Amino acid sequence: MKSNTKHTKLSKSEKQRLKEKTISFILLLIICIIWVFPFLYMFGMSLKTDVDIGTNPTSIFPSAGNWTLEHYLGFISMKGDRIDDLPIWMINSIVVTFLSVLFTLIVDTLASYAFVFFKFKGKNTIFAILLLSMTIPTAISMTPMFTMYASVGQAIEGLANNRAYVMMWLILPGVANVFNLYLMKNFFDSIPKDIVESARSDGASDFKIFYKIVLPLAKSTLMLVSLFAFVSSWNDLLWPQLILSGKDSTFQTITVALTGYASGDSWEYKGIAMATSVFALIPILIVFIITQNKMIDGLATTGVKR
Amino acid sequence: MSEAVINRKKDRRKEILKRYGLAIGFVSPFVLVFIIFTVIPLIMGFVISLCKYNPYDLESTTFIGFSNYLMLFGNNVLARTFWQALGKTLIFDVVAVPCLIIIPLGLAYLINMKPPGYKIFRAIIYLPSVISITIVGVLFGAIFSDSELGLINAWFSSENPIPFLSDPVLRWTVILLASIWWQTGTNFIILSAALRNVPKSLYEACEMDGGSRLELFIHVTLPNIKGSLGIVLFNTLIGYLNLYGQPTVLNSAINRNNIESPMMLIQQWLNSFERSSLTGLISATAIFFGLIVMLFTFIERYLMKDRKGGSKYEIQYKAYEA
Amino acid sequence: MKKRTILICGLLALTLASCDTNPYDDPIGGGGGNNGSITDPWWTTEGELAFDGDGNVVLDEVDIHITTVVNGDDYAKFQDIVSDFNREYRGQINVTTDTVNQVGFEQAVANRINQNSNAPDLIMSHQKGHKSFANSKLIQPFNEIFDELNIDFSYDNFASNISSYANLDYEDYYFDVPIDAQSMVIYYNKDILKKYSEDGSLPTNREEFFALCREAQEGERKTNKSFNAVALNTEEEFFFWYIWGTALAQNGATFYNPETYKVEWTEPNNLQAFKNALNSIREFFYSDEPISIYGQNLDSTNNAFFNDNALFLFSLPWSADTIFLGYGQNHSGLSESQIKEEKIGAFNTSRMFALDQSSPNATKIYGDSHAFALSKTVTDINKKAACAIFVNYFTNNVDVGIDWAEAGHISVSNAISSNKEYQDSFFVDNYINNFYPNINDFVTAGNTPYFDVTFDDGVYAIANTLLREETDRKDASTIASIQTDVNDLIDML
Repeated sequence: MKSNTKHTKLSKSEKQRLKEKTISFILLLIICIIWVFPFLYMFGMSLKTDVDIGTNPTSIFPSAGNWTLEHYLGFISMKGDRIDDLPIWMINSIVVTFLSVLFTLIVDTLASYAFVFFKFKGKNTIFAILLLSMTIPTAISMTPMFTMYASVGQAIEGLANNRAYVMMWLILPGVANVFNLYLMKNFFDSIPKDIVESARSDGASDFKIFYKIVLPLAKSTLMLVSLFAFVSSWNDLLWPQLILSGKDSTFQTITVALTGYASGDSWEYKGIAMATSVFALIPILIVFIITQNKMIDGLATTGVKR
Repeated sequence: MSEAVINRKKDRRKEILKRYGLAIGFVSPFVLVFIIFTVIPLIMGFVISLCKYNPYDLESTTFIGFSNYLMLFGNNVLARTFWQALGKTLIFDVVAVPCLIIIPLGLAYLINMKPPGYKIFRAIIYLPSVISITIVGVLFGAIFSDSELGLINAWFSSENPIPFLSDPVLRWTVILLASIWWQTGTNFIILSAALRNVPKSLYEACEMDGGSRLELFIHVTLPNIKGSLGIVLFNTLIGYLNLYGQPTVLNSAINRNNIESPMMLIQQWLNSFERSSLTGLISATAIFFGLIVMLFTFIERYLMKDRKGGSKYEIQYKAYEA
Repeated sequence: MKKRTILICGLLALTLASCDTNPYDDPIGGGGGNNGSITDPWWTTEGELAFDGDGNVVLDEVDIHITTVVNGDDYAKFQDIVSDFNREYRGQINVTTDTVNQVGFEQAVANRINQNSNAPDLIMSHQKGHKSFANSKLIQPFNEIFDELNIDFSYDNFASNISSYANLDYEDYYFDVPIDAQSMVIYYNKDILKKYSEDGSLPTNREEFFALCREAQEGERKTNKSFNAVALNTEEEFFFWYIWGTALAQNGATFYNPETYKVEWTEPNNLQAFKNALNSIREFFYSDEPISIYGQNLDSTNNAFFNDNALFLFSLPWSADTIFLGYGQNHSGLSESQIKEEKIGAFNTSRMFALDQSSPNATKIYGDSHAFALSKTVTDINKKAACAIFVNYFTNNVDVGIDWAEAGHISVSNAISSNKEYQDSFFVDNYINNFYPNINDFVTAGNTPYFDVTFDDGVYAIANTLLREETDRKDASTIASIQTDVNDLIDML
């Protein structure tokens, strides 16, 4: 901004642009302070002692001498056998989430490529039906799905407690995600058809086109979809809870296992609840920080480029 | 000659067959997963909705046609609760859905001006979208707690704590605030990408014509981000008709059993062991509710449909380009 | 095209018209119709037991799994008891446990048993949910295995009221083995009490209680403006379950008709009982001289009690340790045993809400009771035997009884409660016995297959709506409208 003011003569539109930038900067600053505030509060609370939470509710951070890590240590060294399992829950969650993202990308990009670059009968009808299926509450398929899971698990000896089988049921139901498909199709639509057509007439196979041309163009969309898939898989609760209920502790994912700690109604447990929330947030934050800039920055560039 | 034609025809057919085969190859993973994990359970759910069905007493399952659906129009406790809950949700949505379109759009517009540090702002605005609803509940439950220990009460009204989570109107307001904070990000990201895709030359053309900011926004920006706006609206509408997480986590013991939305009704009844003999009825409710949501999305699609004409600047631009 | 549309519409209309408008309007009901003797048992037994020379059963590394609803501080205690058991039966029986939250317990466990996916072998949960388990054929009786093992079991060996609920109305079948009882109890500040009660004696009825509270309040407020005689947390479900339930029980209310399971709250006598119960609680908060504040939560009430701002604290029996600790943190220089012995006393809700003190109902205390039930998925007789041995151990071993009492749960097994060692143990003698002066006055929700509907959506909802009202002006109409919804739903189930 300083460098701008050095120029004594600015054109009218440049002046206006500068004014706009200043206004938007101020507005965004205010909004972002509000936006960050709950996170600060959460982090501050997680470091307060229980007494401090009760006696010092007006300040966001602990008062002097009341900084503590007890809530973090507290739930890492929980009574009984729970402590040993925390790394396992973390690994389970990471494996499930990683595979979910991977399969989502493969399955959804392949399908959206087909929807955009192949001509086949009933393409639009099929897509419309897919979109419509988004409107039906998933609640009704939960019970039948659980029945399928349980009866297949019972029919084959040893399957019910097979790690791969349980993981499969944690991962696959979320993979064919119509919203992601829709997003991806929307971006593929903006890739000029002639690029693909000319590559085809050059004799390139569709897999090659998909792999060499379309995917690189859609890199940022893939990142967006990865982030969406990561977030939804990591935060998924209802379905994993149903599947994992009563399963051995080593089967649990971290989101499911930690819910109990976060759901304390009383202020007595607020410190623990906050620490738990901070803890569950860390991996997602890491992924977010890695992906966000590229994803958003590149998002716009997937569009028309001739 | 004729042989060549036949050959070419054969090649063509081969080509088409190959194409079709490839298309099927590309779609089949999606379709397979979709059929197994979405379609089959849905069909099972639909069949169940036509029956009097109790998962704990399968022998007594009886086919009763559409009776379960008719129950929703009768005078019984399910119908009363359902319509009441739907009403509450719709009232909330009338406020919430516009908020969740306009606020992200406004923010995206501000970001699109690229003020200094916009990348950081962008990340911060998107950040809440990645956390789970449980954490949102913990956070907003603590900030707006009924207790004098809640942040807002501690700051402004510790003598006489405001019952944010017990008073119905206040509670809906808290739910709205939490929703805005939590879900602005997704829409914001999609819309800001769309804004960046609007060709600069369009703006310039309009500016040269002496159009004001507002005109510029209405005639250039909006028509050009219509596709993304459609996705965003569609998704938000579905999400907020299916409102479940926010009213479930932002709650006090007093409202524990209040049913505020059709999804809460469906989930609560489905998860109640005592009501397992009503599984068919609840499935019917869910499907019927799905149809209502569908109706709303049809209306949305219809309203968003391209009116012939479009923006005059766009037409001009296209003409200019040609 | 048009013709087809008309045809389809016509067909649709026909289908719809032919449908029953209320297929669930079945007065007998599915859930309630399973009473009486069992002609067609749904459980099976496989295998044979091995006995040694002394007639004792020989088990070899039998694993059993228990799912329990206990998940607070008492779960750690429960796990301790289980590991003691495992040590004692090493090589024979190994018990593993998991816990499922109260909300959704029945659904989760029922689902696991029904699908036989991670089904528990033994269930330890509130007895009130077991009737619907039995009706849905998810649990099996203990009779056969008790016979095989020569365990002499009878409900006469348990506190009379609690055991009367445990038979689940199936003649001669033992589906339930009762364990304990729990309700809201009262802790009091001995120092403050001494100032207003000559010999430190406690009130014996409602009138005396209110008189004492008002006197204490008047006296203490001279120096301490924020003093309220009673600290009562109204913001958690326990208030509705236990305080409201006890108020109803003491005023002679009937929760539901045990024959039809329908609710009859608008019957003139019953309605009066409901109104009395509401008013008996209202007097705490809304009278000219209120002795407590409505809307306080757990932290405010605990803090008030810890800082000598309250004489009585209504709380839960399993929170005792938290209360001792909290009191200690606010009164430095006291040892834990000093607090337990000299500072904090235990009291109960008996007679506290009865407007008619002469009624036999006046001493009742309403609460929950944990019981063991055996999943139908257990078919191997060795597993059944292991379950039965564990159940027997838990309900007959005095040490277990003492441990479990320290977790806040009074034993309802006569074998334990009549034992001198149990009676003399510190916590039982000083606390548990004062929490529940007479275990035979303890009542629970009893056996209805519609517990959630009747209580969660009905009885508790009434208090939730009406106790925020200062007057009884809306009582009758609200009760009537909730009754309609509850009965409507029971008809459908």
